[in-house]
Amino acid sequence: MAEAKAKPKRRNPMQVAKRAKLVVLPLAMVPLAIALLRYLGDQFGGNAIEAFTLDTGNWGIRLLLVTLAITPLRELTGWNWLITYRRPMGLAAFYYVCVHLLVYLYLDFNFEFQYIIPDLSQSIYVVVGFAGFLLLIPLALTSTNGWIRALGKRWRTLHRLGYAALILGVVHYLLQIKEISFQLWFYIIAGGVLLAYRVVAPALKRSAGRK
Amino acid sequence: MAQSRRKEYEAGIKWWDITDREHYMGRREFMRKAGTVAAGVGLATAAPGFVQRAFAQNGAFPGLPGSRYDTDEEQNTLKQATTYNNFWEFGAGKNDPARNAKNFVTAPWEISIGGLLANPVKIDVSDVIARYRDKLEQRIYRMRCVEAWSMVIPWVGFPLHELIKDYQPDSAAKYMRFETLWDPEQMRKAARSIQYPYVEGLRMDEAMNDLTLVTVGMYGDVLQNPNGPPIKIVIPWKYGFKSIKSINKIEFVADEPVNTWKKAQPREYGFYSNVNPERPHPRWSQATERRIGERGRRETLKFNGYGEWVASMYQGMDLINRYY
Repeated sequence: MAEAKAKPKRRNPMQVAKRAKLVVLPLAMVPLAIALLRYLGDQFGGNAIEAFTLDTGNWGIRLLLVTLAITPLRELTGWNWLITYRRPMGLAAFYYVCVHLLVYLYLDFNFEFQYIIPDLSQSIYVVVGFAGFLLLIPLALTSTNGWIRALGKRWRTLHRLGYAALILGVVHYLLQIKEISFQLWFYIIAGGVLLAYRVVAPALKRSAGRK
Repeated sequence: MAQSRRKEYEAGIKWWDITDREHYMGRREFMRKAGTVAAGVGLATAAPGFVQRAFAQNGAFPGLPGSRYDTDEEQNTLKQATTYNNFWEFGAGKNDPARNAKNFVTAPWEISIGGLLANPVKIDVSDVIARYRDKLEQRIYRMRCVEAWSMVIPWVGFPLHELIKDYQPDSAAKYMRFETLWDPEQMRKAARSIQYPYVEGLRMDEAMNDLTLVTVGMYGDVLQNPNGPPIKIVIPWKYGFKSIKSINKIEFVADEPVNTWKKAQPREYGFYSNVNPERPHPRWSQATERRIGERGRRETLKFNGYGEWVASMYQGMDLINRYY
């Protein structure tokens, strides 16, 4: 009796998480829906295109931070069910970056490449941001179960590019501003902590193993 | 579009019908202080008419003549011009001035005019307006920010050269230096990465140029709080940060003043700061600009399109590498 009761309890979090997973991606896209409504309803202030660009870029960085925080959190807390949310979060981050780029190309530049090309060549932040976007493409493409199996250990190595994309995203932001906002400090610190954990945790594990 | 807006304007749908004036003006505070001033200084004779008109339901400056410099491009709305601003004394965000300058007290407002001239004075802005009332014009100018966005705004003002002629600076005065009010009490949310008071400057020939406008109003009424009331200088061929807001000190000086942004980041911002699509900002392109409210980009014009009146002042100067 006692065993029968305990068993489903132990399996519960993972089962719940697997079911909840289905709503995570749609939920993560809610800010995009809000942003779209604000843009179309003229609720984005004086410079609506800039506000829309900033909003989607910010969500791209935030979701990338969440994605990269999942593994450390899982290791520290032992909550293995967290892993089910990593792929939808990572994909959501990628979708936001895609929309962000599309807003730049269409709303900001109306696809006029005679203006986009000088902007690319003279505005280094655009190049840095674009490089971050390019890095995310292979990660999104190899996010399927098939690719995970096919790549094996190399999959983990490849997906460390997520950190590079995050750094490029934050630098892309940093290059445009005149004063660092609270939010930007948060990105820098949170990103720094995640990177530090990646370096420190394996070293700790190694020394613990030796003991 | 510009035409239809003008019609709408004339038909009586005016922005002050939909703008909460107390919101912008800190009205009670204004009225209280204006009353004190009127009693105190010689305002009682010159300004009561002005003060009344300033609060008349149809704006402070109705029916002003236009100017030959007016652009016929579509004007930005008052809402756009008052909700998307750089006014760092009230915060670094573009929406901050609209929020944080709501209770900015701009009357009484004393300006000191000093430096290299025979008779330095201190004068209230209401007296300045009364004195130059006949010279006031509406000027519809393009405003190009160094951040690659632009607006079209109808300002109200008079040419700075009128004031310079009246105050007769010494021949040693080669430049003008302007300061924005710095009041930490009222400006608690000021951005921290520049020094205050905010300083700007002009070479004397730039100051004397007919385009350089001492500005006391916009859209037919007084300057709104996010736009640098009660008095500012608008220099349409230079990046927006040269058009210094809420001025309380004017000086005639011999040497080139060190303006705030040049001081903060000399590699990125210079003294002249003429709009120039050929010189990219070190971090971004200046070739195109976003007109607020429009989709897509416009090509940025050299001297913001005012070259025929100003280009000759810079002949032979290297505007790319040296005098940017």
